[in-house]
This record gives sequence, C-alpha cells and structure tokens, in this order.
Amino acid sequence: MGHLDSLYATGLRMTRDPRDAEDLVQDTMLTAYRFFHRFEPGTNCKAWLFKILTNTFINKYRKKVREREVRDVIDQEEMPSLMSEDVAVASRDPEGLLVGNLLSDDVKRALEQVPYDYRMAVVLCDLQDFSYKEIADIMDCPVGTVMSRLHRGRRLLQKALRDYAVRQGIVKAGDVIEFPKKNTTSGEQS
Amino acid sequence: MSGKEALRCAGISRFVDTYLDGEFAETDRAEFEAHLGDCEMCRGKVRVQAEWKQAIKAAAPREQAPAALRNRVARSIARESKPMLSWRAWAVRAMPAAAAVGLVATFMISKVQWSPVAADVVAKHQKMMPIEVSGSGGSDSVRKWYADKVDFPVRPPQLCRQQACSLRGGRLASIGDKQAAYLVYDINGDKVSVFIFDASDMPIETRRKAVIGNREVYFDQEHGYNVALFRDRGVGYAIASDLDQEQMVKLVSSAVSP
Repeated sequence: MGHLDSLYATGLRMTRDPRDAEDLVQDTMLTAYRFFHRFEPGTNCKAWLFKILTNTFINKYRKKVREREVRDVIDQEEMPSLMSEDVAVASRDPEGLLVGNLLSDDVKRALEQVPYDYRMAVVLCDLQDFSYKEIADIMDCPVGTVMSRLHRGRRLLQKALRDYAVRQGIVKAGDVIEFPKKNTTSGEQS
Repeated sequence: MSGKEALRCAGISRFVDTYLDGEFAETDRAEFEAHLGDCEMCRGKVRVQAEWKQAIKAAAPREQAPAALRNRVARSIARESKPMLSWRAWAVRAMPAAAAVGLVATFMISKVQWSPVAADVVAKHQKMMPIEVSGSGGSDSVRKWYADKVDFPVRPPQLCRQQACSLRGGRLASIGDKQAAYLVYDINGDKVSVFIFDASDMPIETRRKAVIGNREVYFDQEHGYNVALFRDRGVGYAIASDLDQEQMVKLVSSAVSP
C-alpha cells in the first residue's frame, strides 16, 4: 500500500471531496487487487495504479462530481483565452513575490478552478512526477495531447493563483507589467 | 525584433514546458538552449516558468490517506480473499485430488506475487538521500547510533566477505508508514541499499521464493532493480541494488550466514 497517500491526494484533486476520494481509492485498490495478474512485473506499479484510479473515477465518480460542479460552471466560463500568457510571463518582481509565498491551500483552491483534463495533466506531472509517456498512458491520450493539456493547465493554474493573490492584496493588479505585444503567435496550440 | 525572430520565439515558447520537464530529445534540447543563449526574452520566460514549477511543487497539497481508509482497504482486500479460501476448502473436499491441487496452486500464486515493500524500497534506493551517520566508525558505531532512534535492533548485515565492500553509512527512513533503518553499502563501486524494519504485519512475500541458509528469501524486481526480502528474528531486511540476480543471491547468503 506504498502509494496510498499519493492515490488519496490525487483522488482529492479529482473529486474535491474527502469522502468521495476515500471511496474512489478503496475501489481502486480493490480493482488493483482483483486484476493484479494483469500487471506486468518490472513495469511501473505506481503508473498502473494511477491508471486504475483514473478509469475508476471516470466510470463511477465523474458523473456525480459533475453534477455537484454545476454551480462552478460560471467560474470556469470566465476562464480567459490564453492569449494573455505573455502578461503572466512578463511580470517580474510581483510574480516573484507571489511565487515565493505560495501556500498549499492556495494551490489546492487554484487547482480546483482548472477543468479536469488540464488539472489532471498538471497534477500527474508536477505533483506526482510522472513522465509525459506515463501520463499519456494513464489518461489514455497521445503525448501531444498531454503536452497541450499541461501547457494550458499550468497557465490556468497560474492565472487562478494570480487572481487569488490580487484579491487577497498580495499583489496588485497593476503590478503585472505587460511585455510589448508580439504578434498573436504566442504559443497555445490546443 | 525582426519578424523572423519573433516567429522563432513564438515557436520556442511553446516548448518551454517540454524543456523544463526534461522531456526533450538531446538534439532538440541543444537547439533550444542555443536559442536561449541569444534571447533574453525567452530566457526570462524559462526562468519564470521554472520558478512556477518549483513553487507549485513545493506548495503542492500532500494529504496523507487517513488511517480509517488504510483499514478499510485492508479489510476489503481481506474480505475479497476469504471467500476464495472457503471455496478452496470446499473444493478440496468435493473435487478430485488432482483438480484441487491445481486450484490451490493458482490461489497461492494469485494471492502472493508482489510486495509493496519492494516498490517502496526501490523508490528510496533511487534517491540520493543524505547520510546521517557515517559508516567509517565500523558497523558497531552505526548500530549504537540507531539504538535510541528505532525500537528494533539494527544489526548491519555482513554483505560481502570476499569482495571490496564498505558500509558508507545510514539514516532514518520509512517503509510504508513504519520507521526503518536505511544503510548504504558500496560494493565494488555499486550502491547497495539495505532497509531494516520491524517485520510484523509487513508483507514481504513475493512470487519468487528461495531458501538460503535455512531462511526464506523473497525476490522482486522494480524498475530494473533487484530486491531481496527476508526476516531474521522478527526483524525484516530488504536489500535493493542494480546487481544481477546471481550477485544478489551471493549478498543474501553472506548476510544470513552467522
């Protein structure tokens, strides 16, 4: 049960609810136990468990969580298009101040603002240290999709953290300095 | 900035993440770095994204699974295996002997085939964890260092009697949620990790079992590393290294012989 903490923490990121996360992890462990004969020894056990976690979530919990999330939809619709990426990148000191003062509660709350597919790419890469290939396998999508989900997910997360910091008065909105705009070729491809 | 340069930066900036995640092929990385050398703006982007990545990682919420969940999982898995036991008992009585033997054999294989201890041990073996007590004072001083830190005896095993081998040192670590003594050995330049822990309720059994020096030793493989697991007077031992199977058997037989 060496990966139980990681599975639980990730289950929380998926369901945003401790009780659902516990049920999800229990279902995952039981499925893993039942299907252990399909696990190839020598391959990555953690990635295998996370694939089961992801599939279990999608099959059994996602509908329930979605229903609960209806009230959050308005928030997500306000997500900006990512053309403002350079704004994020350009700010210097205020950003340093924000980045240096991140709290785990802030990250948790900000992650909750990021839509599922993008959020999971970030969680699997930055919080659970999986490689792109492992993430592609866990999320059952091509590596290129992992890359674009990660890119977008990280920028959305940064935006959410920045907005939160602005609301809290940690950085002022005006502190964000814009670089001279290049043409509109600034990167997002998804 | 010329239009051509801007285009190049735009193309490059898409891959800042790929670069920072260490997912570039060698040649792409060289090209990317060459551009960074010339371009202050892209360097800035990389720096800011690197800071973000690090800060988010550092502040990432890391909830631990509640004890109640741990128990629930253990219970549900135990429940899962119970009906099979009674079914097996029934089968032994009701079915012809040959078929029953087949059943018992598959049951044993499906129940016991990997040890979560091995996965944990390899994960820690791969990390470069700093030493807290040096082995240069000999294994006795290492043993003494652990005496008031863990509640099981730490007897550094004699890993090798013929080859060049030294105990580099040790530190406190954990296996699952239990405390463990972690010893690092150097055998002909190869790092060998030995974890010593309280073996009660610690599932070390795997599919590959061997009896070495009257002791049951279980072998496992994780990420290409070989792991050997055994018990000695209630204390569990897990040895991880990238040595091959044959050398591992040698190490273990050296460790278990008096």
